[in-house]
Amino acid sequence: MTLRQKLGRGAMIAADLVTAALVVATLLLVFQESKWVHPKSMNAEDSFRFGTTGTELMPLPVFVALPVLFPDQFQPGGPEAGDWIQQYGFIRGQAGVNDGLPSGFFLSNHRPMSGSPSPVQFVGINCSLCHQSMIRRSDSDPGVLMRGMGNTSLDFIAWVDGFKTAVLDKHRMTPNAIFAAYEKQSGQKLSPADKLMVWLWLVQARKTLENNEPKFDAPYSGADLRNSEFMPNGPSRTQPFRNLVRNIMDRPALLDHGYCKLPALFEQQFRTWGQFDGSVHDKLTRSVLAAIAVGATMQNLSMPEISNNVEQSIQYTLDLQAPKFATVFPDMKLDPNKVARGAKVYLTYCDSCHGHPGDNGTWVRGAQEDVVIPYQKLGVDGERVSFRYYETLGDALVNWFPPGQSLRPRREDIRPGPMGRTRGYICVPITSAYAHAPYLHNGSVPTLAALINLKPRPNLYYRGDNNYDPVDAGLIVPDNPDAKRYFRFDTSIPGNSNKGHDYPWTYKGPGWNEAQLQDLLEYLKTL
Amino acid sequence: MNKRNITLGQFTAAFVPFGLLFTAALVGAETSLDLPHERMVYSVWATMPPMIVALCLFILPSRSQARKNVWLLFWTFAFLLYMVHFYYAVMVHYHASISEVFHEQGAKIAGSNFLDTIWWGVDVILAWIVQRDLKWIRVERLLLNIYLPLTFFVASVVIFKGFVNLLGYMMTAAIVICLLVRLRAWWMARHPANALEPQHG
Repeated sequence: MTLRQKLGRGAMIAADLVTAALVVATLLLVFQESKWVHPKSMNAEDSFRFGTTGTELMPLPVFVALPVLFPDQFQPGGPEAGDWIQQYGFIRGQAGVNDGLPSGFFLSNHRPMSGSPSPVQFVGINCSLCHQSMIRRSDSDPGVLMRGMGNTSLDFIAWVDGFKTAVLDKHRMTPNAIFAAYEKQSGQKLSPADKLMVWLWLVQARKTLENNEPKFDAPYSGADLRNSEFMPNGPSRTQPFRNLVRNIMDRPALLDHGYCKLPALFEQQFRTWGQFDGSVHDKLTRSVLAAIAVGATMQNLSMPEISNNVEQSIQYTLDLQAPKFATVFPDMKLDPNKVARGAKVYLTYCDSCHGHPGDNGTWVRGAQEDVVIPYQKLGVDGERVSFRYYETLGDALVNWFPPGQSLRPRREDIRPGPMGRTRGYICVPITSAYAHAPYLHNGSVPTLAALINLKPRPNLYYRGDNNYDPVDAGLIVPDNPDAKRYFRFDTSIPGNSNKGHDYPWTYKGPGWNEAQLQDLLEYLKTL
Repeated sequence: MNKRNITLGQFTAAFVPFGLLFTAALVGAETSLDLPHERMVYSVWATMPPMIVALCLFILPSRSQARKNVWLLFWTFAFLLYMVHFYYAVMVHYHASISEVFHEQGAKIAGSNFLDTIWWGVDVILAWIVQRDLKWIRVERLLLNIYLPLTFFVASVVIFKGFVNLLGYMMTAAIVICLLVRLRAWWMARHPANALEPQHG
C-alpha cells in the first residue's frame, strides 16, 4: 500500500468516525431532550393553580423582559396606574410560590403548541388565570383570594394585544434587547441554548402574528388598549367562541360580539351542560376547548402530563365551593329572619329554573334546570348565541379531531346538534351566588341587587379593578373613570345589553316588592 | 459482508452522506418550535438524496459488484432515513394511531405510504440476505423501483409545495437522465455497427 493509499484510507476512516460520532451525538441529543421536561405529578388543586395545560406562551426571559422593554404596552395607563400586573388585573403572586409568578401563570419546559421539549423554561397560562379572583372592599384592602371565581379585574384580551404589538415590533423587540433586559432583571446569565430558544421563539411567534395580521387585523396598542371602542371585551370578559372560530375554522370572526364573562367554576358536579348557552356537555371537552381557545393543540393535550393536569383541574372544580359569605365578610351579619323569608321568595320565583340546596351538599334540581331558554324569552343580550358560524361550529369542532383521537368530542355532546338547537341560555344551579359577580352571561349587571331588580341596573359605568360591595353583593362601579376603573362599559352597544332576566319582577314594575327582594338578596348571599 | 467485498471506500461514500443528512434532519429541526413535525419533514427530505443515488444506480447499465455494493448501501441508508420519517410521522405526529393516519391522509395516500414502507423494508432485507440472482426478486425490485419513485413524485411534486418540490424535480430529472443513458446503452448493444457512426445522406 502506497503512502497515498494509506492517507486516503486514513481519511476515509476519519470521515466515517466523525460521521459515526455525529450520528451518536444526534441520538444522544434526541435522548437528552426527553430529560429537559420534568413532568410534575400534582394533586388536583396544584394542577389547577400551577399545572401546564398545553398553553405555553413565551420563554421565561421574554416574559420577564417584556414589561421592561415595552412600558407603553404593559402600562398603558401610565406608570402612575401601577405595574403591568395591576393595570391588566392579574393577581400578584407570592414570593416562593410558583416562582413568584402572578396567579394563573405556570412554568414548563414544553415548547408552545407542539409540547416539544425545550432547554429553556416557557411561561404559560392555565385555568386559575381566569377562574380565580380577589374580593376587595376598598383599594387599600389586601383582599380575599377566591379560587374558582371568575376573575373580575383581568383584562386578558387587551394584555394579549399589548403582547402581540410588542412581538411585532422588530426594532425594539430584538433578541439582544431581551437578553439584556432579562439578565438585568433577574441577575442571571442566559446560556447559549437559552438564547437560541428565545431567538427561535421570537422568529416563529413574529412570523405567526405577521401571517395572522391580514386576517385578524393588527393588534391594538398603547392607550388604545384601554379604549372600549377598540377593545370591547374589557376586564373579566372574553370571547372564547371567537377564538375557536379562528383556531378551528380559520375564519376572522371579526363581527363576533359574543362577549362572555369569565365564569365561576364552583361545584361543577351539578352542571350537566357547560357554557352559558349550555353548548358543551362533557366536562373534559369543556376544558379541552377552553385550552384550545388559548393556544393548546391536540398534540400537546395528548401528552400524559398535560392531559393529567387538565383532568385533575376538572376534578378540582367538581366540588369546589367559595368560602361562605359570612366568612369573607364577618362584619356583615345576615339576618336569619330575612334569610328565611327570602328562601320562600326564592322557592316561589327562582327554584323552577335554578333548583335549591338539598341536604348533605346535594342540589335539588329545578323543573327547568338544564333547559335552554330562548334568549328572546329571557330578554337578554343574544350576541353570544347569534354569532356567525354558531350553527356550524359544532360540526367543525368535532371534525377537527380525527376519529379515534382520545379527545374527540361526541357530536351529541356539542350544541347546536342532536341534543338541541335553541339559541338561548341554560338554567343552572346557583351555588356561591355572591361570588359570581358581575352577573348575566356578559357581565353587564354588577350586583346581585341589580340582577334581581331590587336596584336599578346601571347603563354606563366603568370597569377595571372594581371593589366589592357586600351590601348589594357585587362590584362597585363608578360613573366616572379613574386609574383603576378605566373601561367604559356601555350597555347600549351590541353584546353589552343588561336587559332581561327580569325575575321575579322588572324594576318597579307590576308586582315589584322591595321588601321581598331584600329578603331574597339576603337569602342569595347564603347560597 | 465479506462475500460482497464492500470496501471502505464504498462504505464511506454512502455512510458519510447518510450521517450528515441524519444529523441535519434531526438537529436542524431544533430550529423549530414544533420539533416532531419538522423532524418528520426534514427526514423525508433527507431520504431523497440517497434514494435518488440508489435509483440511478439501479437504472444505469452495467452490473459490476462494486456498483451493486454502492447501490445496496445507498438503498439501505435511504431506507433508514425513511424509517426516521416513518417514526416521526406515524408514532409521533399521528400518535401511533393507524386510524388517525388514514383519516388525515385518506386511504389512498396512507395505504400507499404503508405499502412503500413494508415493500421497501422487505426489499432491503432481501438485498442483504439473498445474493443469488433470482428472477422473482428481479421482478419484485423492478416493480418497487417503479412504484417507489412514483409515490415520491406524487408527494414531492404534486401534493406538497416548497423545498420538497426541488427534490422531487431533481429525482425526476435524475431518473429520466439515467433511463436515457440506459436506453442509449441498450441501443448501442443492439446496433453496435451504427450506434456511434454519424448518419450520412
